[in-house]
Amino acid sequence: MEKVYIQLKANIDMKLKSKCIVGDVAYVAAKYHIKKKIENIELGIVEGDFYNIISPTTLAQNIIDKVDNVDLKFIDDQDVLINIHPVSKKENKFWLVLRVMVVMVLLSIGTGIAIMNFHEDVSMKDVHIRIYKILTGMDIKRPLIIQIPYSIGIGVGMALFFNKVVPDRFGGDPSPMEVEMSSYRKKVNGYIRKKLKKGD
Amino acid sequence: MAIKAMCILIGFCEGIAVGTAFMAFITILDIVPRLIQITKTVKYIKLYEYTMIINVMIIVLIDICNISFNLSYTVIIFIGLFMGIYVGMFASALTEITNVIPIIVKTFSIYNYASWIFAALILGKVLGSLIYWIYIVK
Repeated sequence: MEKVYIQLKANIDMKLKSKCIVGDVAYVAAKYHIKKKIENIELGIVEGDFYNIISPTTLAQNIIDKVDNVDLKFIDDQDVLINIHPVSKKENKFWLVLRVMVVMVLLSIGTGIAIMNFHEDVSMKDVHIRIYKILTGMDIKRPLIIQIPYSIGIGVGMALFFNKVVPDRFGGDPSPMEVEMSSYRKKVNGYIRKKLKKGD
Repeated sequence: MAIKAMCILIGFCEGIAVGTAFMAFITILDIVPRLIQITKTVKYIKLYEYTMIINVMIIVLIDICNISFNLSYTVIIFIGLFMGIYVGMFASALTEITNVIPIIVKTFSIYNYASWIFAALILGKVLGSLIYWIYIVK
C-alpha cells in the first residue's frame, strides 16, 4: 500500500468549460510515479453558475476508481471552492477606463460635499474662531490662517492612514485596507460555501 | 448648599459619560493603533493614553476659563495642520469601517485601479474643504 497525503486547496480560479484534474484542486505528496498518476486523474468539466465546490469524498472516490493499492490520507477536510470565470470575451479597455473615471468623479464630488456638510453640522467655523481667540487673543471673522493648513492636513492624514506616503517603512504589515479587503473576501467565501453545501 | 452639591455631582457625571463615549469612539476606529504601527513605537502606548487624557482635560479647562495666549503665525499654521491630519485620519477610519472601497472595487470591477480610488477620495476631501472655507463661508 503506497501512502498518499492529499491537501485540498482552499480557493481556486478556473475558466468555464475547462478540464479539471486532481493537480488543479489539491496538493499531493507521494512517491514520484504515483504522484504523477494521481495528479493527472480527470475530475470532469467545469460547469456551474459562479461558484462550485468539490468535497474530499468526491476526490477520494475518483482516485480509488482509477489507482489501485493506495492508502489515502487527507490533511484537512475543507471543501475546494472553485471561482468560475466565464470564457472571457476581450473587453475593450475603453470601458474600463470609463468606469474608473466615473468612480473617481463620483467619489471626489461625493466626499467633498460630505466634508462640507460635516463642517456645517459641527459649526467648525465658530470653533476655529474660538481657537484663534485662545491662541492669539484677537477676534477675527475668517481665520484662514488655521483653515488652509487644516484642509491640507486632512489630505495628509488620510494618506497616512491608507499607507500611501511611506509604503516601505511598515515592516511588512499590510495596511488596514488590505486586511479589510481580505477579511471581506473571506466572509463572502464562507457564506458561499455554506450556501452551496446545503443545496448540493 | 445642597443645590451646589447637586450641580457638582451632575457636572461630574456628565463629564464621565462624555469622556467614556469619546474614548470608546476613538478606540473602535483604530486610529491610535494605526499611528503606533506607522511610527513603530509600540512600547509607548501607555504614554499615549495618558497624553490623551491629560491634554483633553487641559484644553477643556483652557476653553472654559477663556485663557488666551499670544502665539506667532507659524505656530498657528502648525496647529491647523495637525488639526487637519487628525480629522483626515478620523474620516478615513470611518471610510474603512463602512467597507466603502472593497464594495466599490467589486461592484465596478476595477481591481487594478484601487489606488486611484484613494487619490480621488483624498483630492475630493481636500478640495471640498478648501472651497468651503474660501468661497462658501462668509
